[in-house]
Amino acid sequence: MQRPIGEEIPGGAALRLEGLTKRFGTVVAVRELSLAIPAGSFVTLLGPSGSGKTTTLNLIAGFHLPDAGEIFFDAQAVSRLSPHKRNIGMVFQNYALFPHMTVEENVAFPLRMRTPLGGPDRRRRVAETLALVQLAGLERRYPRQLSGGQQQRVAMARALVSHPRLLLMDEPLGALDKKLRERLQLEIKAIHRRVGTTIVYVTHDQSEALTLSDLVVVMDAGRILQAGSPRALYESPDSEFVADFLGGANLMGGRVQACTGGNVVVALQGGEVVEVSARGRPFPAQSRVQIMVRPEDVVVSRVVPDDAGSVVLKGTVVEAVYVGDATKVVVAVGGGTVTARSGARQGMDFAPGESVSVSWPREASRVLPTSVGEGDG
Amino acid sequence: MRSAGDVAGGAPSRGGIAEGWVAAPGRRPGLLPFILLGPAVLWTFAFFLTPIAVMAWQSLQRGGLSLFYYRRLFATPLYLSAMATTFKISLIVTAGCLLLGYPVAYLIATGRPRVRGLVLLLVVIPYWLDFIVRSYSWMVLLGRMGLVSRTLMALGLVSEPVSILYTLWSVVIGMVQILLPLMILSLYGAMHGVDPRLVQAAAIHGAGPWQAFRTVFFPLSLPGVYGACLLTFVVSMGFYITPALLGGRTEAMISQLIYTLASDMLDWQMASAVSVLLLLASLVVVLAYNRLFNIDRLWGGATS
Repeated sequence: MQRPIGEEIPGGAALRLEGLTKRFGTVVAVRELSLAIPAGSFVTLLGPSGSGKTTTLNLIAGFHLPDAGEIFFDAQAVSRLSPHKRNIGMVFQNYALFPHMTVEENVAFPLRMRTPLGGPDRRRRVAETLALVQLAGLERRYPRQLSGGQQQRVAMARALVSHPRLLLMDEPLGALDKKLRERLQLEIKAIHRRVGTTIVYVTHDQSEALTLSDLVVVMDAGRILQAGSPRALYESPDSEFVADFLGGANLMGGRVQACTGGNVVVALQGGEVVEVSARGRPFPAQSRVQIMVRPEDVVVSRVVPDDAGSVVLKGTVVEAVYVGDATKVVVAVGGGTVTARSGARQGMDFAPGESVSVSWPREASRVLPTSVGEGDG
Repeated sequence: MRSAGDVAGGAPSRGGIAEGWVAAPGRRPGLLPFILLGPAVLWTFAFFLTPIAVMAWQSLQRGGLSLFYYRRLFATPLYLSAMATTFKISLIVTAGCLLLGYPVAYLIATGRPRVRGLVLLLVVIPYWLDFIVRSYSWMVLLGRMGLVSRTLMALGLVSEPVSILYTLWSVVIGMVQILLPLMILSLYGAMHGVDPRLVQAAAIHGAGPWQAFRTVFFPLSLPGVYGACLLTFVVSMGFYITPALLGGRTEAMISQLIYTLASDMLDWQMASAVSVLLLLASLVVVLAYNRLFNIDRLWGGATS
């Protein structure tokens, strides 16, 4: 904890949560949660409000004591350790900067508390860290004299200055506008690459989670629904909730009629029968399933494509919207609607009311068991 | 006492109210502010400012305008020493209230909801009891044959009955007890505004409980401390009943002199002059305080 300045920045700590449970009164905020986070990785806890992601972060920070379970930093059990002894950095929602201290004093705070660094050494480390977050020159300002984006950078600097082995971030970009948010996402990713500390990041914004993380953990109702790389989660969600939460999924309910080879034959609610890839998962006949396909995989055309490898549905255009970088076409099919999204220049100039067919490669869709008694969104 | 309290409370709130009305969305400041403020302003004029003006006028009358009573005031050691005693007692009472009240207010502001409710109730209950009743009960407790004296004798700590009744300290004890709720509630109001996440932020960045308190919570509670102390001090300056019942003749507070002048000696002009002195002293305290503990300077003044 007390390392001289100039020493190599240590890597991140490995973090392991084992059977964590936290109750508030009768509400179970976190339920037997287990998760292994590799050293130096960027992990996002993603979920709607009330999913337990912030409670999990507060347990890691030490603001709450778990009712059951243990937290390990590397091999050390820390769940009974007070927050100030855990050597963590944290960026709070709305930053929680000390209003009575200047930027320099805010950033120097962890050094004052944790290290024997004094005078010029401390000042140098503060300057280095402010340079890292591109905030040099504002040392003498008070937080209230800074813009939201600048306050966010000060919060980052304060969290990083003592080279903690674990950095917690609680919706750190939530209060900023979209443009600034996207820029800071890239900066946070760059800083992570430079300092190599383990980051646990809480957000309810799926695009933020996909942009930033090595590992995305989707939570709902105090439980982990699925954890994996952004690609794995986006392309192979294993539940309706995850598919839906990661954005833009077309979901069509139906019943399994048969399994043939690697494919499943599903009768959709609208009456159509489609055959999609089962991707090696068994589905009992008559079980209720959802077919999920991403809008960018769906093709809309005026002629019925003659392709045995595709799933084809006939329908009517409900809406065709140009959204700048893409065109979205919503097509009413038997049991509901399918949204297609394609690059703006690919000539999807359909008018509402037109008869079209929608299709996608059999392998592009996923069959998901319909969730029973799980999730409320 | 009331006059000084109004001066203290009135100054900061005036700007806020006016701004609130001007800023009301989609509405021009019309008659409504005047209708809302009117009754209170009229009342204040009729029953507060006018009597004070009459009193001040009276103190300048001696067959025409004259500073006679003020010359007498400053020439008589009694009045100035009473003023000094008033300041001394108010200072001790304020310090005592702060020392006793800060931990209690901290407990209320940071404790669990159940603790908060209970302690808050315990603080407020005595406030419902009249000053006179509470002052009389102190006479019973502090007298030569009172509970305190008997207990000390029973414990063998003293051999003869002791009494601190009719001294400066009995006045201080009584006043601290009466003003403590005021101090605690004012402090609590300010501490309630300190964002608990700032203390969490201090903790996660390496500050132990005491360090987090010292470096974050306490500095952020200081504006509230200054405000609560000012309020307590200014209210103390005008205290009458408690010093009259518990105090001695040698160290009278200024309000006791005013009462004696007005009702025993029927010297209304002199009583007015002394009252004006008390009023001005309170005003000076408030103004000096505002300059000294300017909120902006507070935020800007901290160094590491």
